[in-house]
Amino acid sequence: MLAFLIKRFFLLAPALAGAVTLVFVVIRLAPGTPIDIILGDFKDITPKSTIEAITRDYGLDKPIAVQYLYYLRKVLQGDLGFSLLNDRPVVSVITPHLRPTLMLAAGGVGLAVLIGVPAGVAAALHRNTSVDYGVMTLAVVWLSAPSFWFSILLIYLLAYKVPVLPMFGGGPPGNLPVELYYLILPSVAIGARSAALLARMSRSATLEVLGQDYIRTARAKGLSQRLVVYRHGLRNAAMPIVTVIGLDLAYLVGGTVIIETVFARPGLGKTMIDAIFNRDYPVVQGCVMLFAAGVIFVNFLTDLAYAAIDPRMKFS
Amino acid sequence: MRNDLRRRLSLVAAVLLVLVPAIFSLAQTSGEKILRMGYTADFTTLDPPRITQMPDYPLAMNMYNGLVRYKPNGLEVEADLAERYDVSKDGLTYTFWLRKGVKFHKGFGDFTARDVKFSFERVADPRLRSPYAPLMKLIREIEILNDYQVRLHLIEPYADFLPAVLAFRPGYIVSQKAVDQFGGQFGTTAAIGTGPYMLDRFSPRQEIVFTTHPEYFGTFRAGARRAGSRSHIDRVIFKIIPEETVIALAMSKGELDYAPIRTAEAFKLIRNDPRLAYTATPTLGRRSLWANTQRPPLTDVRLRRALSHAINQKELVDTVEEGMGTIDGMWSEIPPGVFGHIDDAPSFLYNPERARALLAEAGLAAGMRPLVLVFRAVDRSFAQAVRGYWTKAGIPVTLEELGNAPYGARRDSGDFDFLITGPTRIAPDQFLLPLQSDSVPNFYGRIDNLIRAQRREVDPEKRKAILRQIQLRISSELPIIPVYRPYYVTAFRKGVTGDVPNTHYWLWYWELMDITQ
Repeated sequence: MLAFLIKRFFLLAPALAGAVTLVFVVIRLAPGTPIDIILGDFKDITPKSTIEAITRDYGLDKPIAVQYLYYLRKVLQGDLGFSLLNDRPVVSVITPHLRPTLMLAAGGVGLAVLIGVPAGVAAALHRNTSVDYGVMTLAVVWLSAPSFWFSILLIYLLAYKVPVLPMFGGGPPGNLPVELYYLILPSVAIGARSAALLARMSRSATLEVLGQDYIRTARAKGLSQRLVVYRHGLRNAAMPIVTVIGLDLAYLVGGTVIIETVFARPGLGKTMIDAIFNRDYPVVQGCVMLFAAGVIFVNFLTDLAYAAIDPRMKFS
Repeated sequence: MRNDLRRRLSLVAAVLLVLVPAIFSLAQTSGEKILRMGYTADFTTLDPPRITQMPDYPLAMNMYNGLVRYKPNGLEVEADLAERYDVSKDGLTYTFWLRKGVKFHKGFGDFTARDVKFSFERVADPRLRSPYAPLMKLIREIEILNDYQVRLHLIEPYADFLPAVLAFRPGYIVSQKAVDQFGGQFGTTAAIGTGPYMLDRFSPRQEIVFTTHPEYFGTFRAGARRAGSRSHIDRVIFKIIPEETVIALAMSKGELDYAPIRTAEAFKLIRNDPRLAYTATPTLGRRSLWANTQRPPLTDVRLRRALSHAINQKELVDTVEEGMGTIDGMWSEIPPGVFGHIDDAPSFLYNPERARALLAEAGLAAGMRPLVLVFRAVDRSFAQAVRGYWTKAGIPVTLEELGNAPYGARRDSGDFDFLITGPTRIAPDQFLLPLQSDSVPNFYGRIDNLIRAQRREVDPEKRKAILRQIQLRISSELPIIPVYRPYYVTAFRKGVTGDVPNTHYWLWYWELMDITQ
């Protein structure tokens, strides 16, 4: 077990390095430079010589390989650089977004698991009845609903027409109960989609497991439906479900731009996308590093979960 | 057991759903007047020489003072940190007598001539990478005559020195003590000026809170200046909400008092709510189509005029832009309200027959290659409307939408037929700079000497004459096809009064605002 964990840990570094290097090169190849954004509405009346001086000062006129080496040296010393827009250290640009992002990811996935998995299992157990059709139809509807539209709808219905929930924001940082209150609507917006996905996944996983021989054996032994399904069936169905939960969670660490924009929440997703549009290279790299680390960490957790569910995994 | 737990949980949930909003409303301390603004962007920096993003500008305007400032309700310049000033006849020497007893925020000391010298020299410091450095480099020498008198010697006369430099961002005075203390983080973690409001605290991407500066030298009432009067607005809170339709809903719900509105959808929501009011005034910019006059067939002025005649400007504004604009006064390069504007510039309004005739005259009636129109996402519906009109007139168009950064690269490369543009400027010279031959892209070159001449001309009448000449030339040659002047819309809850931004360019003076209900 320990060897397994150590092996996984050592895979972290090259994966991170690979992701950051790839992004480093690609974003510099994209058309447009940070100067266009930095100079804002003043760009077309700034003299060319000033623009060139500023470009040189940022080191943006050097070849990509040279810029990379400078960056590498700084990163290895623990310096993630400064935002090109306002010279704020990348770390202080990103840090305020960590907690809200994790909370939103946890909230979304939590809701999804609480609603989606039981719904999917129920659909499988009552296959081809109205329960099954009902759950699956709802799942398709929610999967197809564009998240932008769904979010605005939630705000309009539950924060405007019937003002029970807050319209926007993440709540005063540090004040956990209030932050949770602000987390409700965005979690529903994200969770609905994930729940739908999980419902479908759970249904098919459960169906597949229930068709197995050992289930028939258990039933033949006279075990109650409850023992059959929950003790013997679900444990085996859990593997693909856990995989999807893991993938979803990893995605949510950085993929929630739309939710963050509509609900005006701080978050890694919008920070990263804004930095990309602004060509704020150091911030993009910092965000990608974090995102990649998040994905790797979630994969690691998923592996741990596998090992817990299936004892055979411990030895592979 | 399970049912019991469930019942308990739902009770807790119900209590929370009721209590939390109640606690929230209590949190508003009574007696304090708080103005809650809806804003779509967080601030980038509040360090004046580095401010280039529009959302930062109104914040800085209320936190800092320059030696002079724009009058509320206009663009003329009046004394601010200076009690009075004098400009020499040749425009090379500016002398300022400074106000005494002005204090920086948060106990950072008294304002003296030394802070003026520090602030101005700092703008030219290459480490700051300020695009305003060339403006400040116009000052050859900053002479401190005594603690409250400073004299600036310019290298050459610059007619717009007061409005374009001293009243504008680079002219704001910062505290040397604060810059020394905060270093590179001045403007992002803290910002110290002399203005009526100071930065209290902020939560990235959530809110920015300003409170009144208790030692502000000015008055918070319109009109006379009396130090020490209590402000109307004690606190200004910016709520950062990237999506404007949510801002509109929040205003209807009563959670926000005030917001600038730029999208047509949000404007529609505001207009339909009787609890909200709005002001709409023309900005100092124009939404126009900039032609690449170096590329045939756009080298032919007849084609450019035909293209202008082909667009139904009024209809475009009323339908596509929900009426958020006007077509009056747009034919001169310098807009109404700014020194040098002319009323009789030649116009090329919608006139399909004239368009057809001009196209035939230019030999293009039979057809031509598609014109490439490059634009950013924010101009999408406008671009589509323009294509609609031009196609109807028999002119093929290809649309190319790009992100902000690629758009800049494309513009610099000169690979386009038309760009959509409409930046707002503030001083006459700034409106003419993009038409010089060394600007990007290279439109003209035949009026370089005229532009240089007006910049140095300190006699207002003579300068007006040169500006007139320039504008008549540009308007008839039409390298830039104006379509309309966008309105700057601010929405507010009924009960917010005072200096609601009237003119152009986001000039807000919170010290003149009030909430009456």
